Amino acid sequence: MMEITESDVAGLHVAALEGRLDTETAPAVERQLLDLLGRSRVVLDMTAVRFVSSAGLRVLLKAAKTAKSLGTGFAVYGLQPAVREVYAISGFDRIVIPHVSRDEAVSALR
Amino acid sequence: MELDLNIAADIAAVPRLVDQLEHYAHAAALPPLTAHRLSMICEELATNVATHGTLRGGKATAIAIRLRRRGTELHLLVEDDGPAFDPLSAETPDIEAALEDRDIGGLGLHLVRTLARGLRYERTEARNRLKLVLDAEDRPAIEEEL
Repeated sequence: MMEITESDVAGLHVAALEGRLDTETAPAVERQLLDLLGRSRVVLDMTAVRFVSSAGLRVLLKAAKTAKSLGTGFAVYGLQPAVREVYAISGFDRIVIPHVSRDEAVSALR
Repeated sequence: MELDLNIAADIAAVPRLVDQLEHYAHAAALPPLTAHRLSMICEELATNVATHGTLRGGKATAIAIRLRRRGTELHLLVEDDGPAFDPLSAETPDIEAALEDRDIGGLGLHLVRTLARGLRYERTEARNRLKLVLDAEDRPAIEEEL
């Protein structure tokens, strides 16, 4: 239930997720994101993610922590309103700033 | 519209549960925030029963979800036959903590408690019963414009 599409933009890795980021899909997404972060800065495109549960939020937290410890960068953009809601309620606004566009997310990592 | 779902208390059964809830939300024309809250709350509660039920000793075997629409409200009942556990007693995570200090636990129940209201837990006939109410009309739960 989760597609991950990767592309390179301006020397960054953009990973686009599609589907649900939940208990079922979180482990594979986490593996892939941590693997990407080991190689480059990562921008996560959440535009096509229609569902996020706490298991999904944990993946984003883990990725942000990993990026910080590796001294690389991790940025997120394109949260749908319903996803934005769980994100804000969980206090994630302050730890993984949600950007509105890819350009903004890419700029934040420069 | 009414919905009754019975699933095994098994993590592998949860994705299909969310499929069915998304299908219901679509058929009932629920607005997007409500649809997401409903699926997310059931995902969190079912996952919790399927995983923690085992950790607490004894094992839930089944989860039942009953959904009733009452005017502008959705009344949800989530029942399981696992060991007694009151999800309302779970500790609240520190959502103000900095990145380095953020713990990864407790978020699911925090989301449930924030997005639902009228939460009531009962332990009757060796079953956990959690009742909660959702607004069937979208009302932003956070201050900013959604």
